[in-house]
Amino acid sequence: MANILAVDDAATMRQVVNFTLTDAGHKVAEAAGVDEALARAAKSKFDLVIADLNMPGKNGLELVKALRAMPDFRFAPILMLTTEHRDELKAAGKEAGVTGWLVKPFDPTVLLDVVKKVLK
Amino acid sequence: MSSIIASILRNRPLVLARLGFLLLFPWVWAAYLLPQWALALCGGLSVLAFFAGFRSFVTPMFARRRSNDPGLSVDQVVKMRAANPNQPDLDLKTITGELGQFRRQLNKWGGTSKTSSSKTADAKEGMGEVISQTEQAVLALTMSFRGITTKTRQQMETAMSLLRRNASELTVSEGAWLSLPDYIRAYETQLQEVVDGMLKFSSASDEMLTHQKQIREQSIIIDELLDELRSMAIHIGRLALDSSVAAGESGKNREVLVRLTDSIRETSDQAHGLTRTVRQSLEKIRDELVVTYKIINKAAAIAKESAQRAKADVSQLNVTMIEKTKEVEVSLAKINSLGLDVQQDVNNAIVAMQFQDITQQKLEHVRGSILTDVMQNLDLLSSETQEMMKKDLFLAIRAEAERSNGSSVSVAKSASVAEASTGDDSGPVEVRDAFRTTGSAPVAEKVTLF
Repeated sequence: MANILAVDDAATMRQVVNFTLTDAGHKVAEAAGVDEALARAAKSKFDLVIADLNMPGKNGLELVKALRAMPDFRFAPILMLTTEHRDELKAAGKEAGVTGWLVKPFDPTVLLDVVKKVLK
Repeated sequence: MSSIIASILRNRPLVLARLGFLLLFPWVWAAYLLPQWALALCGGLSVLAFFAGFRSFVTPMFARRRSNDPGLSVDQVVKMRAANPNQPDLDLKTITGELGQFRRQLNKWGGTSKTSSSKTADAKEGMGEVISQTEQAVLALTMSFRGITTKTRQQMETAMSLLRRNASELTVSEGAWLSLPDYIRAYETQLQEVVDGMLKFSSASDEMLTHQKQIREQSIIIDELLDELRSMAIHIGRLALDSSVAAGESGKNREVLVRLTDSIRETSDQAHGLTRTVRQSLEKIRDELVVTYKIINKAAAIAKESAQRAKADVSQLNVTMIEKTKEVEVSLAKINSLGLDVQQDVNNAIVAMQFQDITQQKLEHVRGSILTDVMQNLDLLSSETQEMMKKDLFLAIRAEAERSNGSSVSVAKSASVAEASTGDDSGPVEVRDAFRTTGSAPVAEKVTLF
């Protein structure tokens, strides 16, 4: 079972992700913003990061770039979980180092499948 | 003149309609008979006659109506007609500037109103979408949790029915439905009956063994008797041999022969007694054998009955067990299916919760951008409207003061200014520029309100 960091400014979305992944046996930590996520990432190592794109202050792509600059997260899978589905944003995410792109609202089964695939 | 026309249109539209009707009505009928040039000439003359009639008839009547207003006292009329010494002496340029500002503010008001209307429509549409999505999300949540509750209750009832006792349906032989505890209890009862049958069979076997011992003892006695009989037969044979020898010498030893004969008779009696004893023993043995046979038959019957009953019960129990196993399998499959349905409902609830969250974010976005713009525009409209109301009031006061002074020059001037302002779309100078050119204070500070 993996150690996962969920980053989203919406508490409801964090709880939904937490509930879905915890129910599948994963250990989930939550962060309400980019700065909090980076602080958590500096303290402990996570097997997977699931982040929102649009957050107050710094956005998800900035988080991805900052994580990719950290040695522990250079090759760690990072998923974007957002309501945005435009191709240019996906391309920007891919360029920043995003592993996968999930559009909200997500189906818990789909999220678990994606998590299982990226953790292999 | 334009202010008079505006006042007539606002207060007496019927007078203007009657005047137009009286002037134009005959030409409508004459248009069928007259040539085109005559119609054009008459049309031109009619326009001239309209303006001439208006200047000579309507304007005095309007002035008369103002002076004869019964709602005003004499002092008020005198005061209205008197020139205000504090009234600023505005020139044509100042009035033009005020009217230009008025027009500019109206244009700005129109643009802002259009923008506000558009944004309000967007906000209304967005709010409608938000409300619709919120309702759908709440409905989906309600349905999902209702489904979870219902299916969980069904699952619990299905699980509990496996363990619930139904006293009216306990007969195993009829193949009735039994709960698992009842089924186990019935199975234990059948096993107890089998054990009881086997115990009866064991006691019958012990009894049969006792009779076999007695038979063995009688057999030993019979063997001993037979031995005695054999020895007696031997002895009788000797006696018979001796008798035959003695018979040869019978003439001499008669007494000896008599004793021998008595001895043979006594031996014969003993042999008879033994024979009777052996016969009695054999009869006893036969009786014991009969009893043993009956006991064995009885034990065999009991064992057979117990075995048959146990076999039938076990068969029935096996059949019931198979059926029960199938029922348990079906119940477990149903429970599993319900569990999957519950999981799916939970997933749907999670999706609905996300919809609700996204809807909330949209609502915050609408509240943060569109509604803020609308409120700012409404504030702007409110302040500008108040300012324009003051200016409109100023213009009305100014026109009334000019009219009360009876200055036809001022009336003509203001009318020309009004016509010029309506005909000039390029926009006049700023009102503050106009004030600056006149070198006086702002208009709002100059006007005295009654």
